[in-house]
Amino acid sequence: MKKLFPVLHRVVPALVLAAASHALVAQSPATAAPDRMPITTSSPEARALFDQGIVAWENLRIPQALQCWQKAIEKDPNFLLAHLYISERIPDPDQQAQELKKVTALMDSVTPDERLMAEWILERNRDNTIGALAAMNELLNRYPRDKHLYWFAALFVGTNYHQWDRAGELAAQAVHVDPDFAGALNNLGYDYAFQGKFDQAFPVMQHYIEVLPNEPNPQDSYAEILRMAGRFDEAVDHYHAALKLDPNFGESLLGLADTFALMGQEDKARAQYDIAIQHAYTKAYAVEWKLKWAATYLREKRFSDADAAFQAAATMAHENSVGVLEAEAYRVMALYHKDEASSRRWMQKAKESLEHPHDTSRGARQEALGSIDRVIIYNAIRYGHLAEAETTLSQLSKIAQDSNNPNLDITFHASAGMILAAKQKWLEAIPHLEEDANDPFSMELLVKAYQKAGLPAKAERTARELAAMNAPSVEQALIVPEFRAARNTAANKLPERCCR
Amino acid sequence: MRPVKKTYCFMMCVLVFMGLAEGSSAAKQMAVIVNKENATQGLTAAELTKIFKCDTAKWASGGAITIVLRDPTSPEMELLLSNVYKISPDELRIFIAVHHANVLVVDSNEAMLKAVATIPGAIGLIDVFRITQEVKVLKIDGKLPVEYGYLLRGN
Repeated sequence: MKKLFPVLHRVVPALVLAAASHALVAQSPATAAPDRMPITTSSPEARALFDQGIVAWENLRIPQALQCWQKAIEKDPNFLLAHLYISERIPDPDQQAQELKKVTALMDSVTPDERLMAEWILERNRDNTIGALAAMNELLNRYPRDKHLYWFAALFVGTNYHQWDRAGELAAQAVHVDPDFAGALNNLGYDYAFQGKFDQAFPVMQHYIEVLPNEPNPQDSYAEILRMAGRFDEAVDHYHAALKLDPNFGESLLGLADTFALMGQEDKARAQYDIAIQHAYTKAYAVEWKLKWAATYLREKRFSDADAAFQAAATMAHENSVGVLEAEAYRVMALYHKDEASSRRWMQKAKESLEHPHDTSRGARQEALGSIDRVIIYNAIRYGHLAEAETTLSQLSKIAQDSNNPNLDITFHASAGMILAAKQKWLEAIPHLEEDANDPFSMELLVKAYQKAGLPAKAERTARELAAMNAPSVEQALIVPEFRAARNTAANKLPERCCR
Repeated sequence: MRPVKKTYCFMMCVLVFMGLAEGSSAAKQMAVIVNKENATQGLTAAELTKIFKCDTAKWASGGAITIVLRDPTSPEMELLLSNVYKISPDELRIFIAVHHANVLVVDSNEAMLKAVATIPGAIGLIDVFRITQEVKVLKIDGKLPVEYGYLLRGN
């Protein structure tokens, strides 16, 4: 392999110093805290299994992690932290609730610090975010050298709340404690990238590759971040490097296809999506990747072919009983169709897909319905039916209020922002749209709202972010290329005006 | 591969497809914090403005108010400047100099938490994702920082 990372040894100490300067909690060396928080169990074997599970989780091996923690519970049924960790990872909400019930019942059997950790998770599940965050930070302050705890917190803050700056600080502290902590390096690289801090993300990912030179995931993660930064050729190189290590690594097979799609090489992208679909981990992933395959026709503006492709994806979803993705195929069709009757027909099909006896959980169904309502509102505004948009917003508001799903809240705010913008109530629209500040549709509206509200600096910042967006999504395909073209045209006209 | 939370994994995949998940930073949420012993549970936006502008110098209990701020140009101060003070960082610097007896400027989040936790009449501001159990978070106009419509929430 070519020598890609000559600056690494200079970068890592700098990273560690940076982490130390802003993430370390004041800690006198004379009273240094222990490296781990206490872990109460009656069985040494259970303790060993618990730790194995944590390491598996940190390396994204979720089934192995769950297996280890479940075995730990077989050895010690009263192992609170094992129940707590299972509750965090188990996909089934009923099983999650059962595990949390056990955690609550075991609260008196553990140390105050373990209770604090349980409180952190229980409060989050009770929708008491303030209580959860206060407990989390309290615990982190007590154990500034517990790298596993900091990794957990970084994941918690990033994935639950999308607060990438705070997540990055927490991951940086885990890396400060252990500069070769692979799981934390992966988190930290993404945390920086999601903030657009690519100059900080790249050296982290380069070190992640150095720590695990024979694993495909570091190459895959680095490739994705290069792709996000628009460095497509380098991204392709690193996806190939990942596939050299594991030719069946599904994420990289998909990532390569996504990158070709963003490069405008749609034939190549479709061929690569076909390969990825053959290697998908589950039927649901295969359908999801088929939707991405269909979206390549949108990038080429071949709308008839897109219709056939999305219908093929919908059929595949139906046959594999993935109702949410069947609905998603029709939702996308309603979004790009430019005549009202067609859009309505596809919206209706999307809703009907969710009525079939598919393997769709209530939460996933609610979220899909919310997304459909958002498109109904978008189309109602597009075709001049503001009253219909407002009625649908009321329904969406109820769905969002009845659920603890943050994605439904975002959908509601994006929709409310659209309606307020349609009424030219720019200042009222802005805070709603800001809640969805990374969706291309909302971002495009935000640029306009900021301009109309007399906030040119914010308009320009959002416009720059939108133009730089390289997400392999339908929304990106529908908005970003045209936005970039319009921006380039405007920029090219500027010198002419200046010269007149 | 991203470190995605498994519970939401399936829908996260859909969200990535829809373009909602990639790098979607949520709005900044600045918590108004006071000492744990402070009996106040919440303030109106008008009351908060009066406190931060030193128009109100004492708590209802009679204790003196100490305002704890970060440097006016720091990112932590942006929402307070735009939504409460409604002045520029330079103007705030002058305000701080004039009211130096009531205002304490700290240089880190840790110092902010420590000041509010140890000064009985202190009121300060911190990113809600950094709060600890040593301080109390006040509701503003009945809302917490995590709720939409909260005064010090935005980009």
